[in-house]
Amino acid sequence: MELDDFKSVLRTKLEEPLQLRSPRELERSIHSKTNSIIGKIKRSIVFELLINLLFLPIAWAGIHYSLLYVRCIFIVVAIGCFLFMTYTALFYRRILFFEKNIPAVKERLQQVIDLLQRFTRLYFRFTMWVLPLVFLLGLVTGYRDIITRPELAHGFRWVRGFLFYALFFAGWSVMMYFFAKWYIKRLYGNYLEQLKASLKDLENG
Amino acid sequence: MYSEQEFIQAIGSHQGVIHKVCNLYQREPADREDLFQEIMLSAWKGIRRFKGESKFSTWLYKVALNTAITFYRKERRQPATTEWTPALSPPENSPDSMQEEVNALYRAIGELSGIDKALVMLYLEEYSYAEIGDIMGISINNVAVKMNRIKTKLRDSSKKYL
Repeated sequence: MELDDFKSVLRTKLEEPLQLRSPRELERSIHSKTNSIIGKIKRSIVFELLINLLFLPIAWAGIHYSLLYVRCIFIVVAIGCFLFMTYTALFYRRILFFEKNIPAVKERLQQVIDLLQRFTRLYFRFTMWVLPLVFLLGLVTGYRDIITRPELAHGFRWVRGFLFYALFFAGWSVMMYFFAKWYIKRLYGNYLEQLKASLKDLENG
Repeated sequence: MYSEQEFIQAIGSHQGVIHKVCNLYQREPADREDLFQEIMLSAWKGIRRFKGESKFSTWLYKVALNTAITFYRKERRQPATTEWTPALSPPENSPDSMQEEVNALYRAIGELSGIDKALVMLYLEEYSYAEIGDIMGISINNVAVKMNRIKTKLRDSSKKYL
């Protein structure tokens, strides 16, 4: 049986109404919460922006702290937060624009893939950028702790101590690298592959 | 510019489009419901940019297919042990052999990829290749090539259900 023979049979049936919904039910639908991937990304960005905003007063207090090294750390963290907030805010604006546009299927697929890749890159890079910051923070506070407490400073082997700390942190960083990669793949990997396959399917003439 | 009331009214008279897409793309009733919801939300967000350059139903097909093809489902509620059974059934007065053939084609359509399903749906709705190309974002030639391939694929794969 050919699709064209089937066409007329199906069309007749397609014209019949299907579980039609009342205006009230339709109205409820447009006021419900979205479960789409874009909605999830939007919620995640709003959450990150809020966390950053909450951190601002803490950073402000830290910048005015009496100890110089604490001030330096908070200045670095505050600059990082500001850059991160600017980037995520621009990203959020992009998503809002994307939601209001109804392009052709191919373009939509490209947009979703692009948004998802940007988001996962942002997530991964943020995790990786935090690592050297934590390394420095641990180094400075550890150093301060040792020199201000004579019982610790006495007989402390600096080179060995630093090597131990650096090795421990290198191991931790490698673990974080693989964990972040695995987690992103687990969350969005299959979905992204599915979208890419659909796009490839559409592009193949 | 559509008000909420006007939008609901317009959707109300074209909601068959959304149901058809949901039935074609999702097997489980709960997933169909989720997809219906997502299509409604996408349409509501996008309606402000709809200036009437195309028919409302064409625009709605674009929204519905965009949403269905990029639909994200985190996990299956139930294992997919049941076979794909479309909500649409062949006409009751058709002969048994024809019903069997139509069912076989239904099943074969269910096995198609998301993109191919979209093409078949638009083709069945009598859209021209130019219109299909516009909705899908591909050239007319590409639509023609794809439709030929799909027809062959359906002819072959529906045989195993007969």
